[in-house]
Amino acid sequence: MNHNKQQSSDLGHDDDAALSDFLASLMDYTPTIPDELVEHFLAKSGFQSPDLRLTRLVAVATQKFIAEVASDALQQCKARQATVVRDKRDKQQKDKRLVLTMEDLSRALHEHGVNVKHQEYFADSPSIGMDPASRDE
Amino acid sequence: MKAKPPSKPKTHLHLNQEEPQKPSEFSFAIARIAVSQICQSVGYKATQLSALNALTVVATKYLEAIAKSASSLANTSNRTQSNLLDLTLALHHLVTLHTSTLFSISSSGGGIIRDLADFVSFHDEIPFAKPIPRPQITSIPSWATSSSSFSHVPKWLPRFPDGVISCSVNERKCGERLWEDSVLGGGGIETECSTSSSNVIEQEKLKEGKLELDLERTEKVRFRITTTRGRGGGGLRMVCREEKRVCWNHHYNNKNITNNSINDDDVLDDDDDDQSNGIFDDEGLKKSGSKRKRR
Repeated sequence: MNHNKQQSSDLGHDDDAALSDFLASLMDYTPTIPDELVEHFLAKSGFQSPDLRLTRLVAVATQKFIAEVASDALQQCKARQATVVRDKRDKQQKDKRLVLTMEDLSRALHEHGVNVKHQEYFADSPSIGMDPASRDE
Repeated sequence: MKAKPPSKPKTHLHLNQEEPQKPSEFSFAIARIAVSQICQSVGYKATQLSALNALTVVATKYLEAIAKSASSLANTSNRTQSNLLDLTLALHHLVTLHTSTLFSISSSGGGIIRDLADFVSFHDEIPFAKPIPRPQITSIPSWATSSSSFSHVPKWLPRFPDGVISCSVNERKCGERLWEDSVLGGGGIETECSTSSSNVIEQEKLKEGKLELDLERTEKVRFRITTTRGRGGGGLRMVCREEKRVCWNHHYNNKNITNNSINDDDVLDDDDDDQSNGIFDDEGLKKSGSKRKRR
């Protein structure tokens, strides 16, 4: 019991040290999302903190999240290209066209708990696309 | 596959869209640029516009979700300012929601910070693409040095902007003026009893258009205010509307009038309970003498 307590306190110290180091390193790292934008959205939701490191922490967390989602979508895109490819010539062409599509994005976001649905096409009236014989004129 | 140098992404938006008009659109546009930069760093070369917009919305909502839960955690602890523990716990809540792996979070709760530290150390920093104009933070003047005329205003409130007080409230750009101000001398209709100053106010010049009320139906109504020497000292105000003449009497002292009302065509009886509104009547009833009609 005592040994465990000592261990946890040691871990606590390590964690604190690591935390302070990390916060210091945050000031060197400039997140992609600018500080003003992060502060705007934080203020909009009621988060108040004079400490710049906390805003940078939030910016880094958001950047990490978006990077994860984007990389998941990229993996989906590459997996799709791998199944479709037939010969070498097509492979090189398709590698250059890494496009973020709604379909990949919705699948990637679904794993993170966000459900995004995208309309495939928009129609003017309900009868568009139907059989002309059955369409009422 | 040769390594491409970081080229300008195809997500660079040639402004087919209009410039953002509202503050929310402005912040959204900035967020969109940042998200597109992140996507480029991951490896994408192009994107669909709708996909980029959707991802930007997700990013902004993620930011707001972190802020909301962190601030609510701080509020439940009787604090208004969030600190690192609030933030860590808020991130903990969010990450356990959106990741499927259960083992990424250690029991101490520092696992998230460790993940972020790894992220920071591993990824190169990507500065934002465009310079953002910084808002000029000018000190807001308060009422602390106010004059005595504004002593009813609490000191901690900010002052009015300069243009509000100095410009005259009574005059508009189109030339309309308050009705009371347009009457000659600025006196207007005096509701108080002023028997001594019952001068004849020639209001003919009001017809020149100083007192024009533009109604919604673009119907011009002109009022002509005349006073007649009150028989008995009462001031009688008459307002002439187009060709009609309507009269009312603001005179509170009934005595003088009631004595002469029988002989007078112009004076109508004024009751005590009509002091505030007066009586409006048509000219047609003038001939009927002391008949009174109340509206």
